Amino acid sequence: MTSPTTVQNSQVQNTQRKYSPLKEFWKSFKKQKAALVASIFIGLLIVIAIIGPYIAPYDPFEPNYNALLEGPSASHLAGTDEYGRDIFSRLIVGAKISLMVSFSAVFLGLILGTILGLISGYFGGWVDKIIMRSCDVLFSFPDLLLAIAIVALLGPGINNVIIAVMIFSVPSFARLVRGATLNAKENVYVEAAQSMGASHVRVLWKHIFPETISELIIFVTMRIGTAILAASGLSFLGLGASPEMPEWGVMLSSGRDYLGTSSHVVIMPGIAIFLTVLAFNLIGDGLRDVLDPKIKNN
Amino acid sequence: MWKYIARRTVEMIPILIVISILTFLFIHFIPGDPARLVAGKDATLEDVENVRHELGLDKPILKQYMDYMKNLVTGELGTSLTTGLPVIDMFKTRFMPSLHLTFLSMFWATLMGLVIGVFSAINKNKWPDYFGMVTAVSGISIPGFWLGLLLIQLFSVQLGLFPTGGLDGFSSYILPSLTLGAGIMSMIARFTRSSMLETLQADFIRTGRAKGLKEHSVIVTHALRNSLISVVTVAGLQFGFLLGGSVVVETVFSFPGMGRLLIDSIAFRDYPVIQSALLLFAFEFILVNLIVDVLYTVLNPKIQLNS
Amino acid sequence: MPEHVLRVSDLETSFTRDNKEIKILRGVNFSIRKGEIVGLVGESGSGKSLTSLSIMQLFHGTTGKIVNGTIHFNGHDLTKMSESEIRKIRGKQMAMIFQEPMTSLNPVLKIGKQLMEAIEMHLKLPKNESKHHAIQMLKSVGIGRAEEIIYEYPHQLSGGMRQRVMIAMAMACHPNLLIADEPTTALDVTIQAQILELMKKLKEENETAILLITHDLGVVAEMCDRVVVMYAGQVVEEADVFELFASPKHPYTKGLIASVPKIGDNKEVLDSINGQVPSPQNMPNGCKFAPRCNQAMSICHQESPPTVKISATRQCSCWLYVKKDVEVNA
Repeated sequence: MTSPTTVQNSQVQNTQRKYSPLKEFWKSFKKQKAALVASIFIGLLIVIAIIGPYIAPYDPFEPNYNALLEGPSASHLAGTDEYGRDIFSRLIVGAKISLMVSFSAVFLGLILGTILGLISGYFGGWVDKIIMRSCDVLFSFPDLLLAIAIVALLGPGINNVIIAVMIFSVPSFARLVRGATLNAKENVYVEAAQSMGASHVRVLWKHIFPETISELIIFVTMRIGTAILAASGLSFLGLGASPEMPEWGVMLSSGRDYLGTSSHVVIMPGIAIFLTVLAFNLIGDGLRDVLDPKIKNN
Repeated sequence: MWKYIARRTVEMIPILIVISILTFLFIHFIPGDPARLVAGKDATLEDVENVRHELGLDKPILKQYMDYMKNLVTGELGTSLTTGLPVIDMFKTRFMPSLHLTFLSMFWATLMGLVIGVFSAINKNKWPDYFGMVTAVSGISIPGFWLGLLLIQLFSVQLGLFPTGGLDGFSSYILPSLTLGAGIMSMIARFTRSSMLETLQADFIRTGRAKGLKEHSVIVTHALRNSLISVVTVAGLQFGFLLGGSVVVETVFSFPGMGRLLIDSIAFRDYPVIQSALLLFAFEFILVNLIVDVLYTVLNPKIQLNS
Repeated sequence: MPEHVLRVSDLETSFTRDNKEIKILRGVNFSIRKGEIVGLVGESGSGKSLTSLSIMQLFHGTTGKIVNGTIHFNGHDLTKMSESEIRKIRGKQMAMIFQEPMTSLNPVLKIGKQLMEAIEMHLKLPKNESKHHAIQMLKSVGIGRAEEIIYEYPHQLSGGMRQRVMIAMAMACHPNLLIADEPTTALDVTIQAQILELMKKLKEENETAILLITHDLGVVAEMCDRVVVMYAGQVVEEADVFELFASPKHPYTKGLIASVPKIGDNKEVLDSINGQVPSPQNMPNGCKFAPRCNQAMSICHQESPPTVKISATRQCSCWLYVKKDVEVNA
């Protein structure tokens, strides 16, 4: 009579023994074909960004007045721009700028937002009120407009773009982490840890932060895409990178006068931005399907 | 109902005040001496002092703020440093085109987003779904300035169907609104899909089918009607995305709206215009959020308005 | 007109998961006569609800499908019909009410609209007449404020009221068969009794046959003429309600009846059946109940028992009654 239950029990133990979160994650992530391809693309892009200056076929800054606005060919894979500079080489070097700007802006925003969110959610009370009301004020400016306002204040330049994009990321991260913290605080083991005399910082770091991590990973990935769009948009508007830099948005902006005659000067950098942002969004979607517990249950 | 609107409006006031303080302080946040920046590099000391007086920067800060608020309430937004025109007059010609543009974008983005989302949901994991979702994720990832330029190249330059830019009748709105709406359309499509998938699992959908209703009335009358409530909310909350995007799109299409005015003013350091434009954008955004909130409560019978 | 409103024969329904077909119903047989109330009982996971969904063919949005067997309704085989043919029957000749009155009504549509939908469609009535009909239906299920309630939303009603609305909706086109899937499980005990009374009354008035799905044997004793007991996707016993309670045959039925607390009993521990319903992925060989059965013989673990006709009104699938003279009940 006891046989069926014991069989089931031993099965449960078996699966538990084999369980490894990373392995499980990889197993389900592998099934997300689009996200997998996108990850490979981003991996390649990061490698290119690092070794870019060494593999670029031409000097990205060197004008060549014998090869102005040439269409894509075997010698110039993506054609040349209005100064005869090789667009492919400029895109390769530009990858580094786009990735650096977006990564640093999002990670700075993440760090600041996470700290504020953890503090806000964990301590509650007036600390929470002040932080959240400040976020509300920042939220009452649309993302890109907030960034434009900050750049208008600080003056144009790539560093100010990073600051601007970081600032508009902070409130979203803070809110997300605060929500997750409030949920985690309800959990029994946090109470248990507190009752055993763990310090605030230790409880925050060891118990609450890990709870929020999967949501954060998804959000960061999505946010990097947004950051690349925002940064290149600001550069396009003349508020970001300086005109001679091979930043993708700048390249697009300076190429727009030649759109009618040599459309590749606009199309090529646009494809670079589009594919990169697309890749980050696809990875984000894939991660959400794998990590989000709400979807998992369905 | 009215009570609720009144309460929400009152709740807006503190945020509006903080925003007014921020935009007021904007000119003081500028690194360096704002009067010197405005007067220009070659200005004499006397010129700088004149500018300082003109901008009211020589008065105590609290007095400056009180004056600023008094002016705001009476619609006095100062004078543009580049054109010499009252800022409010510049806004008068720029505001409505921008508003029309954002509303038109919102309109077709919502319509298309709903259609794509519903078709994706009812064809889950079949090719219409894949097609819809690829379109949607592309729409979110595509830079607006690039899409705008491509549309100009294709439809204006090559096919000659629409003007390349500027504002000359309704046809001038078509390409900019398509460009501006692409991102929102995609977000609405994705959200509609997931919301519909959730709603289609609901018990009352099964009840509808058990009643012998035709599939399209199950989808439209029962499922979509339910999803619509949250879709409207999401669409409304994305309105800020439209306002930010309008700056870029108006620049691409040389569209004479608020966004382009803002960018031009930043280029010329026309601080009174920048200041008031930012305030207007923030105000518009908050107002739309309020409207969305009210709309949500009107659409959702479950929410008791008087409580 | 045949005597049977519904006759389910060898019904097999399966779901597909990871490209594997998992059979949940494995040959279900029973029938319902005109104006009869038949109880369908069993533990959760026994396939009761899926049987009802199979009859209604409500597999939308799932991978469920009927793979074998027939469902004759008023003489026509539902499994041979197209979706649009079945749609004309659903809600008109065959209606269903569900367990959750809270979630079974659309929260954003007014009660009247939800009632009138089916009326307009099946009875082809114009709007004002269908509204009148809707109000009549609400009154017939004992809702006094019918004229007002049609303009209200579901969340403004109590659970019991909502289930009345559900019943009004189901009975709107005077169906021949009403399938009620745990109609009172989510309700308070006092409301339960009222709803059951109401169903009985409507059955008398309309000569509607009812398939009552429940795990509550008290409800069965109160309501049903006959009982069909299901276990692991099969019918294990079918009997007249008095016979069943007086002398259950199948060990599973015995266990079910023994697990109901009786007034006057002073037992410390309630009788219960050991173990759980086996999952469809790893069904035992032979009789599906054998691993939990305290009368299991060696053959029970090897071969599925045949269905034994014990009397004109009852049959049972159990090796205990094979090739043995059945003792007649007292």
